[in-house]
Amino acid sequence: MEIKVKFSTIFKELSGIDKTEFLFYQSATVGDVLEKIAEDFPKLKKWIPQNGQLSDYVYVLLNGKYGAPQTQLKDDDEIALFPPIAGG
Amino acid sequence: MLNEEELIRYDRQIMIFGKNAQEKLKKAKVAIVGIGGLGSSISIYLTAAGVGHLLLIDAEKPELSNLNRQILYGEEDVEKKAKTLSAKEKLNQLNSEVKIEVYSKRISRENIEEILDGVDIVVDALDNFETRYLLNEFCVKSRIPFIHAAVEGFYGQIITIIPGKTPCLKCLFPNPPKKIKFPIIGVTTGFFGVLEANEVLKLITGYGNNLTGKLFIYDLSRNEGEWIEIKPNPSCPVCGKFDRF
Repeated sequence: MEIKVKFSTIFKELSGIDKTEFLFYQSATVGDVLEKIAEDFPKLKKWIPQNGQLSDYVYVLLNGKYGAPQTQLKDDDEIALFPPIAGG
Repeated sequence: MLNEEELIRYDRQIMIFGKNAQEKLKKAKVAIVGIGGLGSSISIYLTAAGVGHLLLIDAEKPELSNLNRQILYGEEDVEKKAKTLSAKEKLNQLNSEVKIEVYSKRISRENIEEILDGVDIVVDALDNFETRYLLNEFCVKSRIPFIHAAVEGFYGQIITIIPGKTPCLKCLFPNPPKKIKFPIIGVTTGFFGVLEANEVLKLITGYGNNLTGKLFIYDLSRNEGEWIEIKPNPSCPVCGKFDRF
């Protein structure tokens, strides 16, 4: 199945691209895609949660909803990554 | 009714949305929570536009390190009065007809209902998610529109939450970001504060479209922006139990 990934702000800067697509096996989860991103884009590694854990450094939206690492994906799903920010 | 002076003062914007809309602005009460970087530009533009009643909430005094972005304050304000009091003076110099109410203590679960009683719109200009979640809960429960923005460095995010219609802040961000001393420059708070003020003006006047159901992210260092469509989380602990219409 095909999974689309969008990078925003700092993630766009570090990855050098604004979006990409991955081919995954049928039972893949959000966590699997995040691990693949960390592998393919070494500069993002420290920001991305590993081993199914949540990270303090990235928000993950799956088709516009919060994407937990264990959530199972389906063909054509879209993941958006952007940094958690809190300043005012 | 608008008086002669108001008709002259707001002439250029009445040309956009009409006298009725200007009267709606005059009758509105808007709470700005946090009078720092975002709160400075939000309050200046809402005061200039003639929003009739502003409630400014902030417990701090201006510090020297605030002055790169908190444009309501000058060197003479540093470590003196509460931000709310200095802000009120400056804003009333700009527009003495706007009623400016201040609350110079921390907003909490215990006092939020009393402080925000009668408010039409709540604007988030805070620097922490603990209080943002509190405002979100209150606004969802009371069905009051809530405008969220947050900034860091040269980028930021903004979304308008209409309880009962759109996802709430907790749907979008179920976990708070880590508390850090964040880098920031005044143009970013200025830009996002203006966008928040713009959301308020459009909500009140009914002119244009709001950022409802979509998070707008903009990076001023690269002049790149994007919208992310956001959907409600049916199991959201804050808004999941309320009916949508």
